[in-house]
Amino acid sequence: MPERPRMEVLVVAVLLTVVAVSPWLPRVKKREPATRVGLASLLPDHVGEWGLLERRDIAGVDGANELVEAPYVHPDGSLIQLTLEYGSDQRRVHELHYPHICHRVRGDVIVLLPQAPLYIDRDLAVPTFPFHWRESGSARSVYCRFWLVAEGTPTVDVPKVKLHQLVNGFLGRSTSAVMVRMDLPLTEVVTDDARLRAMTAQFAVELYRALPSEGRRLLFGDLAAAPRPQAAPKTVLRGGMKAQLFRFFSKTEGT
Amino acid sequence: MIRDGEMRVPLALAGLLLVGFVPVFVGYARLDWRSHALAGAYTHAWLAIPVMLWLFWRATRQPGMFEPRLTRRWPGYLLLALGVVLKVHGELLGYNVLRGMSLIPIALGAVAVLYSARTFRALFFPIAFLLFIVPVPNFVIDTLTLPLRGLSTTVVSRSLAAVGYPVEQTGMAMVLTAPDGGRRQLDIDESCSGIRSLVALLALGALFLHLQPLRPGVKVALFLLVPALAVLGNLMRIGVTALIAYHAGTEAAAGFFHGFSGLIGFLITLGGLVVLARLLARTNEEEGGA
Repeated sequence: MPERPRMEVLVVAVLLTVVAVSPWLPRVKKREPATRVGLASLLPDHVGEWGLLERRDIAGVDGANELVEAPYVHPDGSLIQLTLEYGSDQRRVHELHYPHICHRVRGDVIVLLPQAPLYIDRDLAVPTFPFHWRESGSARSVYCRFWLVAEGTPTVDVPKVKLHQLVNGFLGRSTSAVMVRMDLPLTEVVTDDARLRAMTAQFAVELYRALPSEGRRLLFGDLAAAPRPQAAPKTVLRGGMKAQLFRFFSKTEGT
Repeated sequence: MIRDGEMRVPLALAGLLLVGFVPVFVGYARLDWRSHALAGAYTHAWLAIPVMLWLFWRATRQPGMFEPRLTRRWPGYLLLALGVVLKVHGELLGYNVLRGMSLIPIALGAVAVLYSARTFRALFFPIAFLLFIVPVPNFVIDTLTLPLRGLSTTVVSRSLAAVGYPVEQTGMAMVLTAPDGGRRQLDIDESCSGIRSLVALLALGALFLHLQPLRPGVKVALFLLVPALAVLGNLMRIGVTALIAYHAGTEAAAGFFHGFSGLIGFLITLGGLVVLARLLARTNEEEGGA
């Protein structure tokens, strides 16, 4: 039988000694995001014409760090329930609840609609996941539209968030995420979703406008928090005329 | 025969591995193997460890198993180094999946560096069997559990309705209207999804096929059939439970039979696998004899 080279055994023994002592190595503290971001305090009393009815802070429910429900009512009587949820870590402990999955598990009838971006500014959009849900046996249907903001990026791709969490776990980080959800209870059978899409889009745009920079970052992503380029004046003529008159009078005063 | 001197080095190295990995597996035994979050998918691990050790012992009994390797060691070094890095990284971060899974590249790497290609091939399966013992991340189980629950509920409720039973599906539950007018509800929770038996059946299927005298390609093809057989077994188990609930009440269905019915699914899957393996083996023999 040929003799085993001693160097090989020595190298393997050294590496396995590292393995043997590894359980007693000190643990590296993970970079954990804040456990609270103050979602309830972000909610404005008015979102355009929509007025806030109440803030229901139900933190600690179902594992999320923060869960806030806020019904907003329009002067025309329509209602949008805004739900904000924050999870500091997308592993089991503080994982968000994905509405299209939760409703299905609960036994509700759900109808998925094509995913569509929601433009909150000319060059700023968030992807959204719209669907109808209805309690089993109930005739009352609700139009729901939601998106997630994971690590500053708006998305509706749940497997991508999970994959991100996996990679982050490998790198010793946690993946924090916020869910923004709008529910529009329907009082009649609606066959055309365009009106519902427009209504929730309008609400989201007004919400974006009403929020401070930190709120925009949390609910619409990092890009939304950056200063936006100023929109061009609506009536150039008016501004131009003012300037001309100003210049005219300046000149006459000077002469 | 194994001479005493041959065993000194492998035993010493195995001792180092034990020191490094016993704390990891004690952690699994305390938390993960019985964890509700993993839907009981690893309750079989207590049995799988002795099986793995038996496979190891069986492989090492072959004569000349511990002959040293003489050429091309660098792939083994790479594997070993990767495993050590993963283990240390997992320990530093407290990442349980990495801590356990790193044993596979470490053990395979060490064997590849020190022993012949024949030894490596013989020990590959016993080492890779760890895949059925080390729990995967929760989200993998979650991702599988929900569709399996939906599939089980839909297929069973539609099948029962097709043969005339008054059944209604509500999400992940079935409601049967019994002959006495009573409503019998069956909730298909995580443990009924079939995930618990799926991982165990994958382990058992892999073990069974490893021991069969079949070509490697046939073994892989049959192994790929195990998930389908496991799902089928679970559907039949839920179907029978639903029928008992309908005819004898939910208490009868939830009692002794509910625990016992797991065995039905298990037997159906394993029986299907045994029959297929036997058929293929017979075909092989006939082709060989012709």
